[in-house]
Amino acid sequence: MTPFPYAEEQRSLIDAAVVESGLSVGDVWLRYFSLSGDVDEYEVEAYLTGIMPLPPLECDLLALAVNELIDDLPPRKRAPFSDDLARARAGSGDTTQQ
Amino acid sequence: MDPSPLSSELGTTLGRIRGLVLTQETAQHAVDLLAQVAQDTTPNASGAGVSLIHGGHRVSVGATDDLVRSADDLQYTLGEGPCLAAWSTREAVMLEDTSSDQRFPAWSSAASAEGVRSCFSVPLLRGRDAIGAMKVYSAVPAAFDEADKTRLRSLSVAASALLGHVQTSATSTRISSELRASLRSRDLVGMAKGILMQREGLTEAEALADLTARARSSGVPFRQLTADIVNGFGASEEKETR
Repeated sequence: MTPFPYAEEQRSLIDAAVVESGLSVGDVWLRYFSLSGDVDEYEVEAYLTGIMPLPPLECDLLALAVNELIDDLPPRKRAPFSDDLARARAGSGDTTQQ
Repeated sequence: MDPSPLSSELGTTLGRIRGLVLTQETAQHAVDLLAQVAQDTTPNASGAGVSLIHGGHRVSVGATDDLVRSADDLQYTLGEGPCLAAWSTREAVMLEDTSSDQRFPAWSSAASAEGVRSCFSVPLLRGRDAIGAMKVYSAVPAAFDEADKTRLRSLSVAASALLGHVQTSATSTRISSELRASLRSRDLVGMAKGILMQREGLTEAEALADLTARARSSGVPFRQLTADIVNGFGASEEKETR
């Protein structure tokens, strides 16, 4: 297979995104498969570790799958402002002072 | 039950991904084996049984004989009994004499009529979950001593560890629904590709590239995007839940 431009860079960034978000190869493959990905789980794992190249379209489907999974992750906790808590307590009728 | 037969190869792949073994037979074999071990370790028992319980329903049952099985069945038809109590309270239940014990009146009188006089049941616990119960029965009242109870309690710990790794039908339902969702999603992509190929004269690869480009620029999840194309084409009234 003839490699396309930046194929290796795309691969290593996809892999980094998977690792950083703590996704398992199984989860990634399942989503990629439901997006009509054609390559099996072992090959996806081989691709992510850099052992085997994939055609650009499959790489993009994989990227899409990873991004959708990342979007589905629970968002990080947000910090409340000083009046947020007062407003929330007033709204819920909870009178306990913290 | 699954409305459609699923590709067994794909099911196995998914099971492997989830780190589970995809056979109900495994669970059945395990509970049968454990019922036998429970009886072997309890000389005073005339029979023993192991049930896996999920959400108040028994999902697998192993029994050493028909008496155990029918006494166990009675608990689920009557909705009461020592194993259900052990499972729901997470505490061992000792029933010295079915002809006088008043805690499970309907079960006790039915079981006593069948010849079960005493019963000791321990819950199978895995972390915070009660996954079932293990019990020994006897035809004589007050058949079990402290040594029997201690042995059965220790056995239940090992049994829970083993059974916790065996999948229950609940997990299998979850896996097949994941599998169905994933196949359905693939189907939608296939249809959406076909629609674009027909409508815009694209090749299959071009149609897929076009779809991924749309997903990227719109930020709409792929499944939603393909479902919209399929629905827009008037193919179905599918309601997507994403």
